[in-house]
Amino acid sequence: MEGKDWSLIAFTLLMQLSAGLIVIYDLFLLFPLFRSKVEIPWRFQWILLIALAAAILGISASLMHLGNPLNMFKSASNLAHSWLSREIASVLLYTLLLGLVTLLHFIMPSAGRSLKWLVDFTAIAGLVLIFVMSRIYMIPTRPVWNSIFTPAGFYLTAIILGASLLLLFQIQKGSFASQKILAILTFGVPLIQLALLPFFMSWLGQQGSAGSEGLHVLLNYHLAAFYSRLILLLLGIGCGLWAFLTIRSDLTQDRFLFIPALLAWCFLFASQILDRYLFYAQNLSPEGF
Amino acid sequence: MGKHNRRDFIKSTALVGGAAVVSTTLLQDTFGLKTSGIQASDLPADGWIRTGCPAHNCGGRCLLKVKLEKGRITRIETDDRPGDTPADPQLRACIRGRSYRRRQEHPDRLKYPMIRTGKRGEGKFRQATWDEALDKMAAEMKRIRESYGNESMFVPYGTGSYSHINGRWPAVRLMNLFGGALDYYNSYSWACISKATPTVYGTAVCGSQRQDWLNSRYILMWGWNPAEMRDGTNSDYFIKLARRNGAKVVCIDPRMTMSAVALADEWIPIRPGTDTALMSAMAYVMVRDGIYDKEFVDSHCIGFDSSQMPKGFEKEESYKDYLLGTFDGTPKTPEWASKITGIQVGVIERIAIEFATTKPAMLYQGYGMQRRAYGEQPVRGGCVLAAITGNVGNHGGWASGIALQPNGPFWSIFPTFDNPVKAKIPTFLWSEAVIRGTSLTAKEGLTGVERLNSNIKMIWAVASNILVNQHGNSKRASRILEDESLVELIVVQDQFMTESGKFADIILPACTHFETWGLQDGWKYGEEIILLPQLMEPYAETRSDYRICADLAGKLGLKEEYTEGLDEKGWTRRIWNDYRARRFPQMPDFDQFVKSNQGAYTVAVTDPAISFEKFRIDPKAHPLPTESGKIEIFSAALFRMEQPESIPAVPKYIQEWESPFGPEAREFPLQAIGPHYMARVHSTHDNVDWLKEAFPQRVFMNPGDAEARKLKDGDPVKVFNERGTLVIPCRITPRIMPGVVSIPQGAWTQSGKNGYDFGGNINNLSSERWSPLAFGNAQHTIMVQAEKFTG
Amino acid sequence: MTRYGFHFDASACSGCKTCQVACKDKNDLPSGMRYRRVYEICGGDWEKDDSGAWSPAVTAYNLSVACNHCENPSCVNACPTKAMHVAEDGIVKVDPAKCVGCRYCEWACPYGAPQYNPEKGIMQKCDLCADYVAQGKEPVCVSSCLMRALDFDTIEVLEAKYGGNRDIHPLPDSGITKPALVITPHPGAALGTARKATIINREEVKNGR
Repeated sequence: MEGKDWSLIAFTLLMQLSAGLIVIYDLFLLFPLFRSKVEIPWRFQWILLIALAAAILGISASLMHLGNPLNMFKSASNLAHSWLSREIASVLLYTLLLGLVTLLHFIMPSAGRSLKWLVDFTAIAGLVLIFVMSRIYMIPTRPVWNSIFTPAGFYLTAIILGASLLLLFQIQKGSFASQKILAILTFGVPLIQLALLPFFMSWLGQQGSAGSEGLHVLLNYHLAAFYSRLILLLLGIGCGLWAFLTIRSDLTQDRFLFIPALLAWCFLFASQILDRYLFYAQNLSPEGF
Repeated sequence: MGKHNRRDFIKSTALVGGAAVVSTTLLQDTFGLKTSGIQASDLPADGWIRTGCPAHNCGGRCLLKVKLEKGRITRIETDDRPGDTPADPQLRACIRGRSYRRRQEHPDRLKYPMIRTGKRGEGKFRQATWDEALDKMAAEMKRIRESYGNESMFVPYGTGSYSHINGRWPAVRLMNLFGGALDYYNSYSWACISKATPTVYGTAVCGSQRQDWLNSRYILMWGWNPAEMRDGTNSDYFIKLARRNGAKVVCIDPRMTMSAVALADEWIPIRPGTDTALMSAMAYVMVRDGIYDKEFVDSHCIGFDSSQMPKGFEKEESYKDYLLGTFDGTPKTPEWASKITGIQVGVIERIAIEFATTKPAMLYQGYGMQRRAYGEQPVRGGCVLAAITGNVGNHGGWASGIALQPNGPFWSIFPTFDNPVKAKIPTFLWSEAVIRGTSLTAKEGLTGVERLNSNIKMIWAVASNILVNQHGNSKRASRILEDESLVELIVVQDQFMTESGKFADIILPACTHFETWGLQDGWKYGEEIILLPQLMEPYAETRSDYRICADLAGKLGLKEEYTEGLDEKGWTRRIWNDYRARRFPQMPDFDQFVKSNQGAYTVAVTDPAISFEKFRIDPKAHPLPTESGKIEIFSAALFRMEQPESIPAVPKYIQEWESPFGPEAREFPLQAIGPHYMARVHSTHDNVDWLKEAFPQRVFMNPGDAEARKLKDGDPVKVFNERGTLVIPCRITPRIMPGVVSIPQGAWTQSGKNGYDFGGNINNLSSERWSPLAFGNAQHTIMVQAEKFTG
Repeated sequence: MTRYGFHFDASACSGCKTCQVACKDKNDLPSGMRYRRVYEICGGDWEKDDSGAWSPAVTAYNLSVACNHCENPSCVNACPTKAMHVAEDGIVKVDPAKCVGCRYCEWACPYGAPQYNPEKGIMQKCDLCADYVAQGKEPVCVSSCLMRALDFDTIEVLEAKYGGNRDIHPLPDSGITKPALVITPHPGAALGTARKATIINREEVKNGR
């Protein structure tokens, strides 16, 4: 595990948190409002601000992994061939769009509904960003990362982080329906992530020497992290389910939602950190070249 | 080692370089000596100078092209002469030569003389001036000579410098002027093989010029690893060419060495110390199947069977008697040998037949297998196998044994005068001469006198790390030297503070080969002289070995006789002319050669000389210098020594005193060997970062042995026996036999917790016991146990 | 554009690493940076027969690899700033003025060629001794080899001299990046896959394990 990997862990998690927030926000909070012609509440500023802060923090973290950040302005020069260049461009596009959305939310609050298309764009930019980000890792020289499990994992992380945070955000404020959906996402999506694990492990075992080394590294050098991640995921799923079952149509009872939702978010956030740590722990070339 | 601060080194070098002009005049005035480095007019415009690789005791003698900029070497390349033909190949330097900048500018280089302050062995010193150090040394030398006589003084074996003008030879010259000193014979490298080879051939010169190898059809590289230890520059390359010419190459070795990987068609792993068993079984197969060269044996050998025993020994055990078990009841069959060597019966049979029937064939013996208990036996065994297959005196053959090249290089040529002291001890027994010198007799290999008048009281170790690091049973050696009542004066003259240096009373800092004049020739093989001109002033207060001795001579009133008015350059010119007179009549004039920047004078070999050519054609007209005039398979001289159990008259397998077959194997089941490592020349270079990165010190272990000890690759391992304990990481590799571990020799001891050595010096495990005939070091005969180190 | 390459004779390489150190000297590399790496490939097992005699089924050989100056260099494709580029002389080089030190080329290269310089924060690698090539000289690794196992020329000349083989176990398939590396295999390499031969000197070729 190298120092630069921690900054990449932070960068990817923060960008995925940001994009996940915006996508879930756009789909499950904004869209229903839009359909029902209700005004966009002022408090949604927090979602935008958190998403923007996460993006900016993420970008700063990514700069920390550069040996020579002075040249960073050249890093979108190779769009024709480099997924990394494309990622830089996507990050910039996404963050600019998000910044614009946030700014407009503050200076033109009444235009919220007519600017929904901008939020849609930002959400799409976020989805594209996650896709481009995952393509960086899908190279033949990194067999453990070179599969659909990588983008799947990135998207799942984004949804998990976004949904569980928004659930907290909707306590005593959001609609019954949105809370229900967010709670389902909060326990359901980690469940999918958990279910994919055995498929990933068995796939890994069939990937020749890099695959078996990947398994070896996981189970010999990072066993504690491996199991902790599982336990935290299970706890998160449990709390998410608990949250789901606690949701009542009477919003005054909502305060009982607070503890399970907060626990769910904490456990899930920690589980995603460990999950990403284990991802980078398998930075393995075939045969070891 | 810690982070190096190269800035300090460079700063002081620049200061020295800048003051070069001043100091040269100062030196001339003060000491009447001229240090005349290479002149600016001799420097080529691009700054690239050809010189020799400071070879220390490497088997290679290679050419370097170094770039000099502002008094520093900034680049190192190698021989780039066009052609690179087998007759005159390029003398390419290896990893040790190419990384020499890191040694030349190493921050740990000794800078000034030092005098001990703490207890002996503590390694505590204070800085002293040259005057103080040499005055003290001279006074002590006079006192010791007065109290104990010259026989008590000793300049031990040391091969850290082979540049002829430097190393221990200038010290020996001074001692001989001072009345002499106890001398030694043989060496740590070749005790058994240099003694045992003449018991078969009457001479050690039984080799060929290596170009002849290209004529061979079958080459047994027996315990021989030239690709790593460089047994002569290009020896590995010559074997590659021989193979291209159609030779089959087989490596017999406990390890799949670098040579085995690069050169061999087949690798046969063999238990260390059992080589003579395999040789005997091969000979048995040849006798059984009648495929040995009967004609050659009849005409050129003696002692093969009872029909050709020397007069008076007709009833004694011939070689064939031994093979068939006529006397001892044990036929030396492949089945018998298989149990001892660990080699399959079918393989033994096949190799015997291949070697006997493929003509011509070479059995090249490496030196590891004779650096063992009863190491004389495999030497004789190999020579006998070469003889009974008729591979002596023919092109493409090889008489085996030590195989010095006819008209070959000189081991030393610096004139040292005669030694007034006639007593000589075997090289390895110096520690015995310290603790009980006066009780040594011919039984311990003492020659020249009946008894010594004194134990060793003074040791002046020049370019030598044998005092502690490289001697068998290193801890025992350090205990002996710690005792100030035994050896009363220890002077260590070196470029770095070694483990041996820690036991000095006086440290004299020597400069490197780039900082003085010298020259080298081929070591064991080769047709070249390589000039090492002085490229820069000595670092800090270091001086050349020659200069140190000349200054000491001044303190002892022997200046004129010692120097004969010559400085280092003057001596180099004189030795150059000596070579011209004795070996290379076509050599150019010295000063012309310096100006030419040619670096090496080489002679192309188109018609390689081989040994025993005339003997083969007509053994009666050209007998061997043996008692019988023939190849002595049975040696009457050895028989007369009356020690048949340890010095048999025919080559025999003798179970080692520490072996996997003895009771010691219950507690210590693994055989440990200490081969030469690519990263070092003995203990030289162990502190060079590029070399440690390429070849870190490890204990190499078979996966089966590792698994039994629950070891993963890289785990720290405790390797131990009754004599000491090492802790180093393991490298798990199938390139070594089960039951054998390899700990490359020459690592510097690093004492840590519990007195364990964390540096990995195998001499903390090896023994002080010596071999019976040659009084040679049996340093590879070691049994150990290994287990995971948990802290 | 002329494309230069190496020929490596794996059947003659002893693993002495003189090429590695000759290169370090030319480029003043500290410990931890290796423009050329010598990989020790080893695999196999030992069997004991009924009488206790051993028979090894061991494969071992060495691979000396620097930068293969590939025809389809994945490092050039990966580099976000175009610091990694194919120069006019056909040699793949890093422009230190553009490199941002993201180390993505290090991930993309199948051969471990790009080396991170922690002091400068940028990537560096073998440049085929471009200055020597411009003078008509060989790269120092080639001229240093004790066993004469390395050669250098245009890829056309090398293929004419040594054949077209660019693969050996366990190097990644040459089809991925088309390395300008012609290889004469070691006889043991034929059994490399069967004997699961892998790099067993990892600590000597890479920082960390």
